[in-house]
Amino acid sequence: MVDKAEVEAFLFLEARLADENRYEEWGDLWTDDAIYWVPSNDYDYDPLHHVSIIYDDRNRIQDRIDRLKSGSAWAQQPQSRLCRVISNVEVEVKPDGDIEVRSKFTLGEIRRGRQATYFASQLHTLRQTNDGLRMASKKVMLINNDEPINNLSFLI
Amino acid sequence: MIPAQPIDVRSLLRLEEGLVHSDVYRSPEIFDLEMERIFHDNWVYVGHESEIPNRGDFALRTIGRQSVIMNRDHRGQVNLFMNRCRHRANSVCQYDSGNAANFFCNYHGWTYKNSGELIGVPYADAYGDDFDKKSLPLVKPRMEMYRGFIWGNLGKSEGSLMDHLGIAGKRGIDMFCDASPEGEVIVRQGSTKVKIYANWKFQGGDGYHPAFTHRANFMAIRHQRKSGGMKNDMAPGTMEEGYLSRDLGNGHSCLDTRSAGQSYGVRLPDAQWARDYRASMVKAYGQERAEYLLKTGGNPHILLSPNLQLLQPDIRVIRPISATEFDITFYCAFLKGVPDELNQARVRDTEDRMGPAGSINPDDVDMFERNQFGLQQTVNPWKFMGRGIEREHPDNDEGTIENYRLEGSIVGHYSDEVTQRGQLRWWADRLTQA
Repeated sequence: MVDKAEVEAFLFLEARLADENRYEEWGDLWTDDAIYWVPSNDYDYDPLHHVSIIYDDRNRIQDRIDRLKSGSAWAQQPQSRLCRVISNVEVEVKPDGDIEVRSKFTLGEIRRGRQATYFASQLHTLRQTNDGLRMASKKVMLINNDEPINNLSFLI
Repeated sequence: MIPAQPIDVRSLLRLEEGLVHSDVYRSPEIFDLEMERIFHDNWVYVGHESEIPNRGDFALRTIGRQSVIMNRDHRGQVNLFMNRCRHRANSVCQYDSGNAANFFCNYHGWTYKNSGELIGVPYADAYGDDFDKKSLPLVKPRMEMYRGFIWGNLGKSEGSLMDHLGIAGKRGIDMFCDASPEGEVIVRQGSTKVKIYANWKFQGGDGYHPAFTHRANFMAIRHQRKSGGMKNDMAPGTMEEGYLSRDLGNGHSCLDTRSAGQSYGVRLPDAQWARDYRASMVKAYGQERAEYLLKTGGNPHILLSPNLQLLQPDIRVIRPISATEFDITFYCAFLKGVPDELNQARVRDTEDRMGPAGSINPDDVDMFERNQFGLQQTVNPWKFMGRGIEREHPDNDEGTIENYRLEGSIVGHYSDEVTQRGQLRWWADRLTQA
């Protein structure tokens, strides 16, 4: 059995590290076989044959982190200030032991005088490891993923 | 708002000195004139035929400020319709895409077939005996198609799509499609859409910026290599080595690294599927032409005015919203008749670079928005776009095989502002013509 409070604590930690632009620590939360998916246009499709906003394996997650840490990713110079609220958490343990977590977030961003708000459902697959819970996959379903979106250059 | 005094567009450009006035990019009056003279009275790219493969398929698009329906009707014919009921002008289509036998106006129940004919008018007896539904179909603007690329023209000005594209524009499209051994692209792999708070004429096509704007990508090169992503050798070589920018006329332009053998698209690995693809290209086009297409990746890196860019594997479509806002939709084009591995690599390539969370596009967006911010300053409103003005010269691209020769260009170094000056010369002609 999984403790729902432990799962929620993990989601809140991930949200806080993302909000505070702590890229490397956020990167440490992924498993080596991780998939990080932010679909475009729709919530579900075959990502091998359809463009996504993000479809990263672990190497590409690291590319993303390295870019952001380089000091030359100008779309995050200055960085965004972020605040996300996670709610509606539902936990389901799969037969293989993976923990599937559905939740929702609202996210406020402010950068260079302009404020934006994002709303999304998210689906995490968490796995119990020697280091504690880790993300094997994360899928972020933005409700505006079929509308023109300004930069999502922070951690979404 | 039409200003009391006509705008003196010519006074905003001093291109022989390389000077461009800020108002070109920020004036609402100029934007209104652009809508009238460029987007509402000229050829504008709408969509690709492969987006609507089946009878009844439609996609809702925008030409300037006007909503148009692109569809394939019950007979299989491709149409463009103004999205407007002939009765009281309500929009008759509310969805971005779908399949519909009819377009139905929910206000008073007028109904149109997907081929445009008005077929239903409730209580039609009130209009008298001579009322003829046939006289009130959905309005069709001019439409022309080249290799599946559908363009619309809302105006009455003379000239065909080919007149607008010119030989170089046509050959850019040819090169893009000919990366497929069947000569066809398929555009239904979704898109990413980006909102930019800046002027729509900041379209890129700028060979000077990559090494600076995209500096973070050089820093991430180790992991890029490991994950098989794009190569980051963005610093250009010399003109002699084939690092060129081209003004193709009619506002079209090209960042040309074709003869340098430098393409920014998907690279072919040493794998069986890549060898199969090569063999199918040679079979389709013959040795010489296939080798050219493979060397260049079939990537024209071409910007077709006013709103289409073909940068393998992306099709990018520009939509102006106001003088200070536009959006870009990035589609990934699949190649017909190639191994699935190649098309999958094209999806990952588009998405790795473009869209709101790509590794390239967000830094471009930030530069465009910083540019717009700077343009608000009035103390000296002139920006300097004279780079390479001394060395630009006419060129017929004679080193390229004839099928893809960009004849009638003005050429300069890759980093020169040839492309921007070409865009602005055409822009001024459109805005000032009688």
